[in-house]
Amino acid sequence: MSGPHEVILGIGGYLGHDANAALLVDGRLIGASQEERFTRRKHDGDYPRHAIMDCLAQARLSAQDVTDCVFAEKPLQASLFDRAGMAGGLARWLGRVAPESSSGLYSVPARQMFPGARFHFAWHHMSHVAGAFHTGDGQRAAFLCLDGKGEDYSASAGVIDHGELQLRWEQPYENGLGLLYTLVTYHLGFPSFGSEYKVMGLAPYGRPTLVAGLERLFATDDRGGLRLHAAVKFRWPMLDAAAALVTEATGLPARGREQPLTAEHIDLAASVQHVFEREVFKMARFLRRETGERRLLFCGGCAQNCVVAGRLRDARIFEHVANSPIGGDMGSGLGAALLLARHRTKQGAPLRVDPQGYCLGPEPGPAPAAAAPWRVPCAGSLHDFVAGELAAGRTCGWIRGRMELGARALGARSILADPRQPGMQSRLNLAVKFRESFRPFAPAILAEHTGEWFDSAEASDFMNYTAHLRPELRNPPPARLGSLREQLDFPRCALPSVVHVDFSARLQTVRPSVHPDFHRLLTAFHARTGTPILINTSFNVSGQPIVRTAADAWECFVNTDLDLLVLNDEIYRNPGQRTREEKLTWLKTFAASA
Amino acid sequence: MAKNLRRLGVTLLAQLLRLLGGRPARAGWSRSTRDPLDLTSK
Repeated sequence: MSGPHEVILGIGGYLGHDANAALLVDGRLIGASQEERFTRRKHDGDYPRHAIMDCLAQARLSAQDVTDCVFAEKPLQASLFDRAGMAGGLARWLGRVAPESSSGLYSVPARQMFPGARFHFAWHHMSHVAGAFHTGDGQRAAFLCLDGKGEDYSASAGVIDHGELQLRWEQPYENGLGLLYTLVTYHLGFPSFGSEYKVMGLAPYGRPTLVAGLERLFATDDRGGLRLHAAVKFRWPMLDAAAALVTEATGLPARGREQPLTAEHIDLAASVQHVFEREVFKMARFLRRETGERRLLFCGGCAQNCVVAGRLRDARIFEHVANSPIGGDMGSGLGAALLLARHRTKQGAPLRVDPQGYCLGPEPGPAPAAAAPWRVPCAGSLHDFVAGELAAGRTCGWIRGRMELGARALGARSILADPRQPGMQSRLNLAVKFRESFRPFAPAILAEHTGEWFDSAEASDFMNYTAHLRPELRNPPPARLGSLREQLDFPRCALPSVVHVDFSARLQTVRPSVHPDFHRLLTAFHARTGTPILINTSFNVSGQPIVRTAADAWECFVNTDLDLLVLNDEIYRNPGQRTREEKLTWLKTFAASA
Repeated sequence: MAKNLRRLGVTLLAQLLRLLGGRPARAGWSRSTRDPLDLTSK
């Protein structure tokens, strides 16, 4: 029997953040994982050895079987830009002629691991574009890749179809729109990598009163060509100093991470989100005008801003907007692998892989022995039983099947709760997740009922768009709701824990064809309560990567106030034996990444 | 001494490369001449 003849391993995020790996075997997607889930270091950017081994194990292949290894970055050109400020044509020429050893130690671990493989290096942004296109509906579209940085670019745009990939425009340098958002995130006291989503969540509480101040930081044009005046680099130690630029521009002192959020800080969050949306809309109009395309593919790290993705979709600048399910670098290895597979495919032949609901990681494995005494007997349907417990106000960890790729839990490594319960947002934030109280949760809703609750019935299978609660379901707020606390406490609708103060929600529309097991649970909850919605948040605490194994889940479970844990086909109750002090000590393990 | 000389050499080379390869200070979109399917350059 002959083995597979094309085994493509994609590696992304390496020597940066969110290192990851993905495996394609003869054009079939086998698996994809993030290194942080194995090493338990959030955003781990080391060589993704564990993620690679997991992909190979899922394929029942060994390292010798890998025929091609492709990186989601051109390391020499990135390094020339970072270290020598060199970009453009000369850097590209050197990238072609210089020996691979000139890119330092970048590919050494992979070359040692896969001595027989061919090696390739994809443009970082093209990896994002290919990942979104070939796992999506595969229809011709203009693309906008908006990122912190890729080699020495902050944005790339063009047109993609199966038969062509036109890279038409780029924004050189890294000090663009993404970096502006990151600087403000730092200034607001959220210095951990990837905290921009907290600013996005904070923005609806404020008013964009500091836009004029922020505008002192950059030049822009009518095509969204934003560039910071200061030559700031996307390097973490330097960002602390660079955040002082925001103080100079706005007159607002930076917030320490333990200091309370003032009204002005919240207004700054609203202001940067306003600028971000304005510039993205300008870019979209430019692309619509210049390409004539009716569809837009939005991808790159900045596309994780699901608020702007939802607004873009509503604005109808393009008839259809597809936002990448895995906008960040977590999916860049998969994108690079798909780019190489596309390159090998006969010209114009469609290449589409089934992303399997993006549940591409490992199974959880068996429950630890320590869990056995706490097993809850369940004679009937597990889904009906858990639906009943949730309806009774119990919170539940839910660990079933292969784990998700990307930052969002989609019903394989989730914490679930009933959104009708009063005070559930605070209870989950403060006693389970140990995170900021202002952050709302995402509603997972049966896709067939979306239109009854929200103003858009379009699919958002991966929490990649926001929609708004239907007007007739809203309680209009009184004329004046000032503080964050007043806004949080106002009962704005029947499900306040999953609906933001501006009535927006970051939806996961759950379809049986994409997430069948989770759909079954939601159906059981709907049958029991008449509400087709559950709170769905990732199974982790602040600063911790999402749990991967049953053992990870049990450790997290006993250190939080969660009530129940579903591990594979078994249900467990919380022993409740850890003291508050023990829990806090455990929590401090992850504090640096919170 | 040798270490310092080597460091100076690296700095000078970096400055030279910056002069040769640096871009003009302009903002916004520019036409791309990159091959999006280039998988060989590093």
